[in-house]
Amino acid sequence: MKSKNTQKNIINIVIYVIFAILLFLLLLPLISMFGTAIKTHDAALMTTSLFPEKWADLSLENFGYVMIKMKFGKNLLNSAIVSIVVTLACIFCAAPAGYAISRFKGPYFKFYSVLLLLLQMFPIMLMLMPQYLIFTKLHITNSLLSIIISYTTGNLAFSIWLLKGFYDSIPMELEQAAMVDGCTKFRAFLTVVFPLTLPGIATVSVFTMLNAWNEYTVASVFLKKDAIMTMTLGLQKFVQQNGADWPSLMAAACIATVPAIVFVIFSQKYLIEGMTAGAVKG
Amino acid sequence: MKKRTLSIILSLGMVMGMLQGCGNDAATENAPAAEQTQETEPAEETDTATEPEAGQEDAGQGEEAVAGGTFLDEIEPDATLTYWEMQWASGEYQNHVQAMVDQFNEENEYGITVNLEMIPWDGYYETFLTAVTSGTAPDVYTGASTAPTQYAQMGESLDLDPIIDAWKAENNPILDDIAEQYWGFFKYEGVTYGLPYGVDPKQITYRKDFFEEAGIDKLPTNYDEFLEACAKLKEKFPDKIPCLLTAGGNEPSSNHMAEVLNGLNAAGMFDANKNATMLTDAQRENYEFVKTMMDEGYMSEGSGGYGDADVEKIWLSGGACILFGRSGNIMINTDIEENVAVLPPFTGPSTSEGKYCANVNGVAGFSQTEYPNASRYFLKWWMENNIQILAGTGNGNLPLRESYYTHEAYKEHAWYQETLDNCIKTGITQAYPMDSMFPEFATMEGEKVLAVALAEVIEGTDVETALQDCNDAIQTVFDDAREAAE
Amino acid sequence: MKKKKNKIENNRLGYLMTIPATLLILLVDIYPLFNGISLSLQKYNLQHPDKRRFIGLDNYVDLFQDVEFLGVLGYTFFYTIVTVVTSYLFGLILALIMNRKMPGKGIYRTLALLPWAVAPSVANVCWRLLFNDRVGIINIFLMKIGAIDSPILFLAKGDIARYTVIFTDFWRDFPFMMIVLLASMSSIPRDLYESAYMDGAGFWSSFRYITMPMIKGVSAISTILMFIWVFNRFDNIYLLTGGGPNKATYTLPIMSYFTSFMRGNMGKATAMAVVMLMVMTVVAIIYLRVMKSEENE
Repeated sequence: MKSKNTQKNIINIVIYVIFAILLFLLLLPLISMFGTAIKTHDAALMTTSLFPEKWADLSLENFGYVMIKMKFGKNLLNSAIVSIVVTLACIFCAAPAGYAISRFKGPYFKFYSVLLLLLQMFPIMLMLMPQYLIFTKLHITNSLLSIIISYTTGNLAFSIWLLKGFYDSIPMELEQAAMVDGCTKFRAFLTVVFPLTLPGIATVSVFTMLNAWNEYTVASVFLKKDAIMTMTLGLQKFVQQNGADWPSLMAAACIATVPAIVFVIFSQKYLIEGMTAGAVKG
Repeated sequence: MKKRTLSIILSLGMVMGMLQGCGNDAATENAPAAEQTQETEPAEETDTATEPEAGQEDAGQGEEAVAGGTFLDEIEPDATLTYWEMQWASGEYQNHVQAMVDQFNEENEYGITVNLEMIPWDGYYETFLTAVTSGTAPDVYTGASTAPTQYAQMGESLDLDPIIDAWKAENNPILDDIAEQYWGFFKYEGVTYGLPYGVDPKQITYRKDFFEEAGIDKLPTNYDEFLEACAKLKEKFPDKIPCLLTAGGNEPSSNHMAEVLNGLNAAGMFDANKNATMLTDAQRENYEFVKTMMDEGYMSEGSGGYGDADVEKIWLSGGACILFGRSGNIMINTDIEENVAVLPPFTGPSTSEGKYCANVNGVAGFSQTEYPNASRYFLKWWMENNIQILAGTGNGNLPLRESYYTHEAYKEHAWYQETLDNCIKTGITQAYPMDSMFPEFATMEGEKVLAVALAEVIEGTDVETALQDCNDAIQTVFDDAREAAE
Repeated sequence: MKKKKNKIENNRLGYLMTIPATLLILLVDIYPLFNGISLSLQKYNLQHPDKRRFIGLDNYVDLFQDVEFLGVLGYTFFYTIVTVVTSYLFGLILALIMNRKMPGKGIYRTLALLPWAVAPSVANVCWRLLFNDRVGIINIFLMKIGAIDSPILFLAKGDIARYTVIFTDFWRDFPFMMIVLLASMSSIPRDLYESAYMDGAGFWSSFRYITMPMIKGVSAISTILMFIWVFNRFDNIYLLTGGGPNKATYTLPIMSYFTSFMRGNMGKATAMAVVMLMVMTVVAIIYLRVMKSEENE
């Protein structure tokens, strides 16, 4: 028994180490991004090391420039608004739809899931111009509403599909038990099934949120007014035609990852808290 | 006596009629006079005796002088214009442009309000195209140099000849301030669709200190001497790249390398009949030159994958001796600035005077605008007052107006004068050997068709195949365009 | 009779529940989709809008006769499949590891999601500098430890570039797989594993008979979705190599972009998109059929 434990421990340690190395490799871009951002402006341009080489090269001036002089905070705020609204809207539309496709039988629902898949397949580049036309007719171009609608719809397909998968793994007995107790089907959904799919909801929210946070192409075509520019557009303020203000760009990018990371940490809790083991009987 | 008073009253009446602006208002006192001033041509036919009086009476400043019979008479009142400015410099450039726009909004007498929107470079092509095809294009803009001509072919560009006529009528010095050859650059089918204001210089810059250390005391004047200089640099500095250039990434920078080669050897990539001309001896020499540089290790092996970021990093950290085919402006205000100079253009074997490439940029308008004359007025004012967004703002464009170079910002850095002398005054344009920009160039630049030969030679293909492939690619663009027009 | 009425009523709830999603899709997606399909049957060049006319299937005929198009289609397939497979496998392994009771799990999960948290344009610039043969850390490190003699030309040589772009895509995609699989695995009750362990099942058998079946549904969905995303993906490769060097990493989305925006040939570009759509549909159908038949065994 004892040797088996130590064996287990050794395996664990080995796994940890491999993991750590892997993660370092995979986080190289972020590390280099951060390393450049904390150098002074000149050092960032002229040195090629990952981190500042001398103490004198270490500085937070890029962050100051980005947030204070260039008012990057405004862009972050716009992106935050868009991301949160899109995530909420997406869940609001996708959760019931995913449930419907999972639970109900009929040609309509079968066709629906196929249609969702089909819609994913059309490249965004070709959707740009027709979508822009639609929003022009609705007079909502150059407003955050246009990209909110575009992003929500863009994330709908995969959200519904993913949630359908989660719903499929929850046995129908649960709702039926609730309905026997007098709930309507919808109430059963809301009170019994929906909470159990929290990991699925959390998954969908994380990806929808991050997709909306980092999206560039649609935003660049739809938004032109300075006041509503999102974070990805704000990053472009540091980019010229044939070159860029790399130190400031990296600093801005670092700042931009912070809300995303915070959200990821926040949602971790819900990602993994699965169903209580006792809920499944038989 | 009475007759004279009458004629004076009539003349004054005509003047007031002209000042009514758009003559939709038929309730002017002198309907005939108002009618006459609607057409720009009959300006000469109106009583010229009244013209100077009118001009002097109304003109507060010389530039605002209403030259009779030009579009300036028909400016729509209280117009609102949308103005798209590209991110020509990073960071606070926007503030300078906004300041200029604010100044215009305050100053102009026609009640025109201009709204500024800054457009990022990444994805700008889609932004413009989507806006134009959906009917929501801006009124005026600066953009890629290919835009005015390209949209002219679609029928979407605003005709700017009236502005030139107005300048002629008032004898504006701007017409001489910009060299003759540039005025026709944005002409399409005989009509001007863009006003040339700036140049993005494509040149060769070098490290004076490295050259000195390597014992190169005489700057190369032809291809062989250039290769010799590279050899010396390579020997002296085995860890540095002798010649740094961009041939990769998605930015159009590799096109610029090809353009510089064109200029150095007077070799065009296409001719006036819109056929590809890569299979000439001059181009052969160019790409043999490139191949030699590659084989001898005078350029980095990784050049085929370099984008703007790589090149900037290597150049600014002192990892290279010569920067080929790019504007030298990235070194301004950095530690290496004093050691960098523009290499006077050397000459290829097939010509007597090598030249650099001055990529011309223009300001233009869209014909979708609701206020064509107000737009033209703003464009005219813009060309006359744009020094504040060019000088000292980090704008990648150098002015085409020679008079601007007396500004202190241009005296601070030697690079400006060197570029003016070596590149702008004597350079070819990117459309060489054509006199003006043409729509297919946008495709060739965007898909980096111009750089096909360069990229292939760098990756190791032999010169003949590379030239043939490049020729085919360019020819296909022209053929596709012909087919589309059928 | 009552049963049938219930069924319709039940289905009515289902219909109602899909309404919000349907509204959005109708508004934003349907017109572009149909517009795209109809455009593919026309000759329409943005530069010459007056020459627009209906030409039936000519665009498609041209495409299938175009050797370049077929080659690009082939590479896009290859690149997509390799990316999806590697992302899935790596995501699966990570998910399995993280599913155990392990301290610091939360931190690792957060870290693994970071690639998704960075804006693509910035990430690609960072990769570009990391892969650089002169100043890139990767080459410098490998040479320092003596693994290679001369720098690897990650982006300059076509053959290598093909795999470099797969790697950067994989870097972006495996977190998605990991999180999705992990979420699915976490809903498998622990006692199943414990009773299997009691019965003497090793790691491999418990994986094969407990884990795999439970995550099958989610696996199928996420791999199909990822296939579609990667197949359609434009940003990553374009920002890194622009389709180069010399069209080594030229994929269909980039070709479609060039054809539609650079050449203005909307007819041909939409035909390309429709072909891509058909290819993906076929793949999806085959894949799902296979999945279903395995389930039925």
